[in-house]
Amino acid sequence: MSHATAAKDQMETTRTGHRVELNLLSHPGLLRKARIALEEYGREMGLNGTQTDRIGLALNEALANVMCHGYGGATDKPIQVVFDRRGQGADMELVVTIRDWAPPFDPSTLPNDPPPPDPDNIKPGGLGLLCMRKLMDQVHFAAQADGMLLTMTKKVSTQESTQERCSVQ
Amino acid sequence: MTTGASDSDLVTASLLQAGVVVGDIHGEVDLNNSPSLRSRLLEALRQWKPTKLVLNMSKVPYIDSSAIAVLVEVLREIRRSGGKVLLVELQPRVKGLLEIARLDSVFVIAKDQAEALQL
Repeated sequence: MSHATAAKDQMETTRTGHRVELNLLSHPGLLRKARIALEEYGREMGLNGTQTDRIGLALNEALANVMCHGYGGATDKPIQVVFDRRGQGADMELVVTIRDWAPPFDPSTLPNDPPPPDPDNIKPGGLGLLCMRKLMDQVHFAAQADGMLLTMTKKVSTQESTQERCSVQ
Repeated sequence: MTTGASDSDLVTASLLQAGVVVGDIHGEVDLNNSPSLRSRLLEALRQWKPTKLVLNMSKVPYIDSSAIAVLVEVLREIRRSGGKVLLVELQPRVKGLLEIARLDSVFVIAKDQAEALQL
């Protein structure tokens, strides 16, 4: 990455077949760029507008959590995002991984089913996790020796299920 | 395509009548500009001390949870003086996120400013 470029502009994209890798710094100014990249990838896979909105927001929340909580607001730390597809036909899934090098945490400490937010005691990070779990089919955190690896998957369906768990559009 | 607004364009607020402040938010709001939204809305509360804050969100196609957290903080602040926050003309994606966060019942949601002023 060029040192002459502002941190908020620093995102490198590499594509190999279906695999897309984004390497970015932990600057909130890059959230939109990363979200748009995933939404475009989702459209290529056949996801409709509602579905691409959902995966984009889930990535936004995951990255924002890394920036705010993992890296404590530092804007010059590395994050690697990978989009890929797994399976074929009706079993095809979109797989999004987010790797950071922030101090790892114990995923078992995360609440499984956060209670409805209390407006008098709301925690933004908790809201992000809630959104990720509502918007994606699977959300899995794995502590690494030197950071965290988050894997989120979304089943690719060309028809919107009538039993979607949430109504974001 | 509507992008994140610059800090100066993000929100304009004005005193409509005694106790009623109307704010217009422009553009996408995420962690990159939600701190600006927070400071400008809290400043409006300090300046005018409204009991009703009407936020027109017709020009806001996208928000994330950091924006929701700002709205909740503003709500908490205005509640101290018995006031309320009314969200007006929510776009579907914004309304959807409020529902996911299970906060759609915490705010008063109105279809337009006229309705909000009646509530």
